[in-house]
Amino acid sequence: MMNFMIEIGARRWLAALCAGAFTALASVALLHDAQDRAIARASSLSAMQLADHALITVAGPDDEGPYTLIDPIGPGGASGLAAADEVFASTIMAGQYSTYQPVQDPFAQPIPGDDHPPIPYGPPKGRLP
Amino acid sequence: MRRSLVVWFSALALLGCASAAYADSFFQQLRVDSLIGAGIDMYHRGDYKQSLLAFEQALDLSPLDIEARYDRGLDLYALGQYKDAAAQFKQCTQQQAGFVPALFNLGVTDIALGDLAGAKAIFSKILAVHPSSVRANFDLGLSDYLDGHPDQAAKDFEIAALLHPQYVQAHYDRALAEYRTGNLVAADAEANVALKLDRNYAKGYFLLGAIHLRQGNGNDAKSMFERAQRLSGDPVLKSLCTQIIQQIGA
Repeated sequence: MMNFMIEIGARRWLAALCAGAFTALASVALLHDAQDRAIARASSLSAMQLADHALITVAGPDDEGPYTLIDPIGPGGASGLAAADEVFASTIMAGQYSTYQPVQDPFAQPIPGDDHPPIPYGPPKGRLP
Repeated sequence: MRRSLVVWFSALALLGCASAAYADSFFQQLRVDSLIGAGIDMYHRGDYKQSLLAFEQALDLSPLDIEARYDRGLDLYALGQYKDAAAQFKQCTQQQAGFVPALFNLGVTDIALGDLAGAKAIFSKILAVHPSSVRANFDLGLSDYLDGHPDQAAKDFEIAALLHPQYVQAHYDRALAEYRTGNLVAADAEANVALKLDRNYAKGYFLLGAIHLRQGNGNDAKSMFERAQRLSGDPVLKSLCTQIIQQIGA
């Protein structure tokens, strides 16, 4: 009887020990998993912030060519009527007589000392993330 | 006889003076036109400083020439002198109330100056008379977006895109506005429309990458940023893509 009691106690101890070990292992595993997730989340957050920073700028009509403003008027340029039509048209029409410009990327930052006109469709002052 | 000679002489003298004045005015207008033509030519070649000089000379000869003043505004805008450009366009609209190109350009210049309320008032005024103006709808969208109203901007861009379905930027900007409102499904759909219209539109892939990133789809996001990086000719965008790809891959 005594032996039986000792056997049960030992088994309980063994079970408790196993349970404890399992819990500890599981905790470590969960902790690592949580850490991995946290690292992944931190990484994606940084990527997200980078992406959001770039996406603050909208694409303007100048993206397709020199269409930001209505064309010049006068000899060699558009007539006043044609320029007004540019404003009212239900499709983008402009620069029909001017040279088509390559696509400008609104993400491009102004280069110091560069004479190129700045792109106006950036965020207004104080709105940068 | 003597009297009639005097009358004839006086008449001839008057005619001579009038002819001289007319010729003077004619040649001055010819000179103004020539300066404006040269200025427009230089504007198209991107030589804004020389172009500006030509328009200023034209205005020295003829201060009320509305075309020279309007064109001068274009050069000032191109040179980034937005306040001066706005002053020129404003003066044109004061000089001639129905001068719509100057009014529209004043709206665009107001965006550049950050006067978004002023810009919106101008585009709304144009749209009240011409609701199907794709440019006014589009630029109203830009103003709303920059003014922190992406929900309203999305509607403006939607109208611009409906009016001109091939207008890639209208679809892209609508996608961007939807992205800002948190409507990722609509943003995804519109970005895809933009990319269907232009398969090489680097910014479109960049935006899709950001949408996938927000949706927690890292692999698709990475693939989109890689495409944007490959297609973009802009070193800043390329560098951003590289950093983002590294972050996702970490």
